[in-house]
Amino acid sequence: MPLFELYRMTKERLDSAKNNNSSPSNDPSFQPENDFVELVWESGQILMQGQSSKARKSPTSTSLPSQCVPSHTTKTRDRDIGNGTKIGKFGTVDSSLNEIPMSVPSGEMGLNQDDDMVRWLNYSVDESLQHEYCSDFLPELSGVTRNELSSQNNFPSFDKSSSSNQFAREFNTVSVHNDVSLDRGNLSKISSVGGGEDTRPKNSASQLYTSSSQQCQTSFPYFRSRVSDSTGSNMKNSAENAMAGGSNPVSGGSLSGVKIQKQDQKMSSNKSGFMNFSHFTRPVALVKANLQNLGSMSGSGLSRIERMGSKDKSSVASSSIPVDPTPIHSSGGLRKEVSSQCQPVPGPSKVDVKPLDVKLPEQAAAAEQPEVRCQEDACNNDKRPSQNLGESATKELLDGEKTAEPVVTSSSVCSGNSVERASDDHPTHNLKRKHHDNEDSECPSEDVEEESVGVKKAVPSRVSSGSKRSRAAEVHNLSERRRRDRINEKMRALQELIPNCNKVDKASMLDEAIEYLKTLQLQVQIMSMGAGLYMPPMMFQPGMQHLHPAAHMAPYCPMGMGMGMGVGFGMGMPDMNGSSSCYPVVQVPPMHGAHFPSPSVSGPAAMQGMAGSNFPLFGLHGQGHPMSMAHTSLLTPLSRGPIMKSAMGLAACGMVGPMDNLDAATASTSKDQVQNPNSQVMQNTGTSSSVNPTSGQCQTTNEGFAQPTGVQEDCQAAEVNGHGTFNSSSKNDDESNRQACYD
Amino acid sequence: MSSRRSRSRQSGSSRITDDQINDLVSKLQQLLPELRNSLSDKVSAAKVLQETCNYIRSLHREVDDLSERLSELLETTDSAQAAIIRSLLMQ
Repeated sequence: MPLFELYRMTKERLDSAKNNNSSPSNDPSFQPENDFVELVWESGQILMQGQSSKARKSPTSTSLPSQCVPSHTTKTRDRDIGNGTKIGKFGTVDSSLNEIPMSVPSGEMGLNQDDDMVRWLNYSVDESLQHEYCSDFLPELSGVTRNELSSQNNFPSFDKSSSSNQFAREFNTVSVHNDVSLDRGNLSKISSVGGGEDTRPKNSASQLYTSSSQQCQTSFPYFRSRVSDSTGSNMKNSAENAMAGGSNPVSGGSLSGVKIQKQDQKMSSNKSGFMNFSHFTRPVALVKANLQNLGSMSGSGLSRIERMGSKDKSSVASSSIPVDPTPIHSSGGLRKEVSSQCQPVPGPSKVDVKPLDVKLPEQAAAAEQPEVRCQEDACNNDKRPSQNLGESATKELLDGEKTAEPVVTSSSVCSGNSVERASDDHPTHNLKRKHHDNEDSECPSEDVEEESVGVKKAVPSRVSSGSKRSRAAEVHNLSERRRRDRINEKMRALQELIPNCNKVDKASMLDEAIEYLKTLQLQVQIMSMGAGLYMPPMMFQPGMQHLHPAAHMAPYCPMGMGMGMGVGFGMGMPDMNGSSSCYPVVQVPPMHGAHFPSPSVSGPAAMQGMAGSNFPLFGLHGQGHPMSMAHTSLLTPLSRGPIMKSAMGLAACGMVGPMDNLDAATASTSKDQVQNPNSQVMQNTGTSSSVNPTSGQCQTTNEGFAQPTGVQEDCQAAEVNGHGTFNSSSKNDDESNRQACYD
Repeated sequence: MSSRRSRSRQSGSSRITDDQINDLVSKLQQLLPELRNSLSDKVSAAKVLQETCNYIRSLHREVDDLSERLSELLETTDSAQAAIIRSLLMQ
């Protein structure tokens, strides 16, 4: 309970120094809060959740409700904001299915984190550590925030920094550093805003989305390393104090452990790869399991398990599974990409660490692994921020390296001890945790000592023999996995673009995509034809009446087509269906592309198209004698055209309903009639050669003619039905599709 | 170990359809104007799919534009058309 007492003490101090706190809150570091309060309100449930869970989580807060509530609310808000943004991203990606499930655990985690953070910070400051320590320690935090910019996690971390700022102010230890951190807070805020904006377009641009996810990833390890660095520095300090401040390392180690675990959970919920601390946090996770959500807990546990077998990426992926199964599809790829990105980013030194993780037995070096890796990460990451964020980055680099080097020797040992002590110091935690801590800390402590002498040097040499092969396989596996993820992602995007595509397997998905693409191409072609040629026929109509020979019709074929199209569009599908002789006309365009058909075929086709369309007289005039027989027969369906038109009007919407009836009616009449005139035309016309194809087309279209009616009845299935049967029928489909679009 | 496992898993699940899918992807590629001309088959499946998505989107846009245009045309030319039809029928 000393922790709680200390916590209370600090709380009281905080209370007394509330004004002090409020003043920094006015500082730019706190403005992000306000900026993101809106997000909080978007997901109001999250906020509620966080507060309620907080109340139940921290008994100390109940003792000092007045102080705790405001501080927590702000922090939880920030965290919630962070979660909200994350959720927003997820929501966009996953069609916002996971908002609530995601938010609930994260809210709780944020709460816990807050508590721990407060305790931790209070502790460290309360121990009245030197300014150097604070400067070391706080830059770490600010570094965390800054690094997190790209990821959505920057909010919580930022919050941490702000809270640290608060505490620092309160104790008047590091005023100078406060400013620095505040500045960084600003930086982080700006960049975080940018990051948030970046996340927005993600749903639309999948590539953006991947890139941002990569950013997330890259930031995560850094973040982790930062945290661990800070803890490491904490431990280092404690070690330098000859462990005299037993409570100090304890608080540092245990709390940082707890905090890390929180972050772990948060990250897992956030789909970040957090395998690094999975071992380290396992006991903590066990402790927290009861209080916190099972999902995150299981996530960390899973990640730990997976890590034993495989590596970071798999654990990342697996960690996401328990959190919310639904987003896995969309976000799983992200995660994997992120994790895959993680490894290249840290680069060589991390590669060395990686095999270490793989190689080390699970039970041993549970605490040591994360530390080592984190330090390595820190070193690597220090360089990265330096590229990104100029001036302060260099400072950070110095800090990070400064901390990292000494920590290497001390931290791992300390962590074991501190964890041990932490378990001792926290009777409130259940025995399980103590158990695990003892196990974990005792076993690795020996190994750690020898390894910690020169982690970087020892690791590669030790690892190189056994891990080369696995590393190569790992890399290959990684790239393969990334490739697959990319493909799957695109598949999903494709699936969204294809209407009524319920296919699960890739092959049928691709099939569907191909068919749909063809249909769309056809549709666009027809429509462009119709739109482009609609006007000319209208203008040329008078002249068409005087055109008798089919050969002369050839140049006007587009007009006929345009008329057919125009009428088809104007009159709706019934016209097209009712006068099936339209089909050849419509059919011509796809066959010949944008160019107009050859005279011999196109002439009669155009004529028939005109006859079939609502301009029977054109067709009759144009073809004159040979078509006289067809004239009467065609007239019946055609005469129906205007009526339909008047009844239906030009409004495209709502045409499907009447169209079904009309289609049925016209189908019954025109099917026979149209076929008859065609045959008669064939017999009568002198240009039988030219008519033949058209009549054949007519008949085929008549066969495919029954389809459109069904298609129209089921507009949804329109694009599936009847492509490939015949051009005309597919055209019909297109028409009906278009009609369906109007609906 | 992990790689072996995952490899076996992959092969178990996707080898059956791998050829098929490659076929389909190449078919898809032929439909894409952007990639049709790239004779090399080295276009990755992901790229093909991405291009397909883009192409479908562009087609959707086009269809929307065209349908709008057509409806506009019909709106504007409706009266003329009706008048012509009427006059023709009156003859």
